[in-house]
Amino acid sequence: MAAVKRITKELAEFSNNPVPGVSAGLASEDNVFKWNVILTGPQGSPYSGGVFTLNLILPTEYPFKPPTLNFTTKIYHPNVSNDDKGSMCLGVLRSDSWKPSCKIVQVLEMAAGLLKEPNVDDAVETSIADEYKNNPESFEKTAREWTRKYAK
Amino acid sequence: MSAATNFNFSVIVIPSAVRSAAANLDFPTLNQSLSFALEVSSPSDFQTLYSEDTKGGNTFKGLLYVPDLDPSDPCDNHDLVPRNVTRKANLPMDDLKLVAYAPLITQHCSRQYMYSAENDNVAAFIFYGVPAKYSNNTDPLEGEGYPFEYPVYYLDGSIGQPLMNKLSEYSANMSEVYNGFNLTEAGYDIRDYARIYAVISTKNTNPMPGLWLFLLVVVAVLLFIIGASSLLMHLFQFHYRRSLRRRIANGEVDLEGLGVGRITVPREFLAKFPLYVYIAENGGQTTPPRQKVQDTTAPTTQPVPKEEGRRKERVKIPSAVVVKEGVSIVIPATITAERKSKGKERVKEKPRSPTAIDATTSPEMAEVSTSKGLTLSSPTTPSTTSRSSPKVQYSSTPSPQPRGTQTPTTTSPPHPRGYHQTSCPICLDDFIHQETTVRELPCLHIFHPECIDPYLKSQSSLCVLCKQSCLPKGYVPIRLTNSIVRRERLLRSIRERSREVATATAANNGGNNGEGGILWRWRLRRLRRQEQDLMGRQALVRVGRGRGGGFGLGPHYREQRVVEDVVRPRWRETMDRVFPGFR
Repeated sequence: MAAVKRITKELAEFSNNPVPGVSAGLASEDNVFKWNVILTGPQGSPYSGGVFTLNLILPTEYPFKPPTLNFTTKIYHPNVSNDDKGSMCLGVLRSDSWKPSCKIVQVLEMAAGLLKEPNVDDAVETSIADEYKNNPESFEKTAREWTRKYAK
Repeated sequence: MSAATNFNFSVIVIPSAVRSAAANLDFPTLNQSLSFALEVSSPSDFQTLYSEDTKGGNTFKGLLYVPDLDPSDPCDNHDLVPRNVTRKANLPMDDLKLVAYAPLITQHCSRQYMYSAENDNVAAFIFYGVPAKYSNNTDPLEGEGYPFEYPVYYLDGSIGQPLMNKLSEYSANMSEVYNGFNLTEAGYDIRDYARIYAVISTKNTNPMPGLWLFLLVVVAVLLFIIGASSLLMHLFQFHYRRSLRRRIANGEVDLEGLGVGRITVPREFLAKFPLYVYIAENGGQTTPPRQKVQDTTAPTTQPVPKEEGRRKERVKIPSAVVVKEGVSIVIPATITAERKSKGKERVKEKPRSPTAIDATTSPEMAEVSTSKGLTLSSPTTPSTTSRSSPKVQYSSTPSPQPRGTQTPTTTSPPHPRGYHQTSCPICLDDFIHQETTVRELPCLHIFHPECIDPYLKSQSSLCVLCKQSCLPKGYVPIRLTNSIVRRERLLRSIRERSREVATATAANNGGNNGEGGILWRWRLRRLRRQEQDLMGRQALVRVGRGRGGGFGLGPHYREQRVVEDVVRPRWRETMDRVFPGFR
């Protein structure tokens, strides 16, 4: 199966060259389509000190279809939906702009990058995005609070 | 059924000289100021008792008389029927048309009168009502089957009795009739006959009276309007379909963006996408891993017997692909011709060139091209035939497809063309210089055929890298339905609007937030509504995750598959068929 082959390859590649601030692995050994990802909040961001767990689900059509990233840890972030799904909105993860040449590592790097700097143009939570734009102090306060509350 | 509409009674003059009417009652009417005339047209004053199976047309006319009964018959009640009433004997001729007239007393009497009238061959029979003390007012038609051929009418007693009395006034000669003195004074011959003449106008009570006819007309007009508008709509839809087909053929429509379902590349088109042996952009000289590959091949090209075996094996891989897919590699005509002629020669050359050993296409072509002298200024160091040949193959095989703007190779020099891509974007494996067989899509992106072919065949027609369609221009892969046409129009209008909105926003940001703001917001709302409409109507199911709302429409809809609403009521389907423009 082509998808399994590629995912296995990517997993090996990732284990060899891990991304700082990101650790990832299969949720269970017999299913390569489900990864557990742990992001540590980058220094200087309101998420610093937090540990965020995510689910990375790869479709069986991978790499033709994009993976999905879901935060299982609650996070106050313009690009993460504030519901029980916690789905993350990344431009490259939209199926119309997804390219098979994009690797999981790059996706994870981008996710880590979003923690450092949210992307208001791609926001799912528009109210948080507005707050981030217009009232950064209050945004940071809430984000920090949520990090303390949920991501410890 | 012909019901009476009008009874007209007047007095005519039959000249005494006339001995036979010859069924013609074209006699002059008596001066009405000196005689009598009666018209009964109020429907409440009369009834049509029987008019079926009757002879005659729309009018029944004849001289009014009372049929003779047996003198002893008690029905000839002289309280009702005056003694001097007009009888058959008072009429001047035998062959005159007659209308019988009698009171409706009992069923027995009615029968008697009617049998008598039958003998007189009357045109019609008129009964009139009498006070209850004389009559049991039985319907004259009751009882056994009605055997008569003339129609039977009924006049109300308030009209019938005075008429009976009048009938008694016009039974004698001219001087004795009512107002007879004045009549003879006025110049009427005393021997002439003045008699009451009845004309019963009837109208065919057609099964569809006025109201029905009116309704029918309305329905007909409605049907015509429906038909005409349906025709018009079909014409328009036909026109739209044709224009959409034309635009698709011109490549102006992003079919995938229409979300009309999966558009895939048919086998025969896929077969036309060339398969090449991979050549690195720089001839494999700089990148170490590929260099390595070449290094291993370079020294081993010369030892013939061993290399032959390897070559064979290696080339067989693409050949296997070729056979399996039913693919024929596109070879320019000149080369094909060349190849045929070279066929025998090649056999001769066999020992000389290691690449020509296999009868597979790529080395063969390479060889042919080489012998044609197409080897273009190759910057590489003097190399073996086997190494340079695939390169020539690239340059001598012009890509028949238009080049996409995003492709990396468009700007590269036209000869020894290599590829920027060093690995297959799907499986991430590196291509091996001069070894890997790659599938080149019309956008000039390359993949392992085994990686890209199944995807194009079953998932999408777009290049996974640049999202450019792999289908040839002018190919319409789907059946264009009205709903697709509608969708395309709606999408196009939304896109236009969104552009408008964008300009409006830009203008708005520059200026104040007054009227423009309202207009802008209104347009925005309309746009959103249309968008929602589109999604709702087509029962779209979003596959994958997109942004909520937004106007990135083109690709935005790409992954949405149209689910034909299964539970569409029949009437809507019919409606759709009749009025293809609605919905």
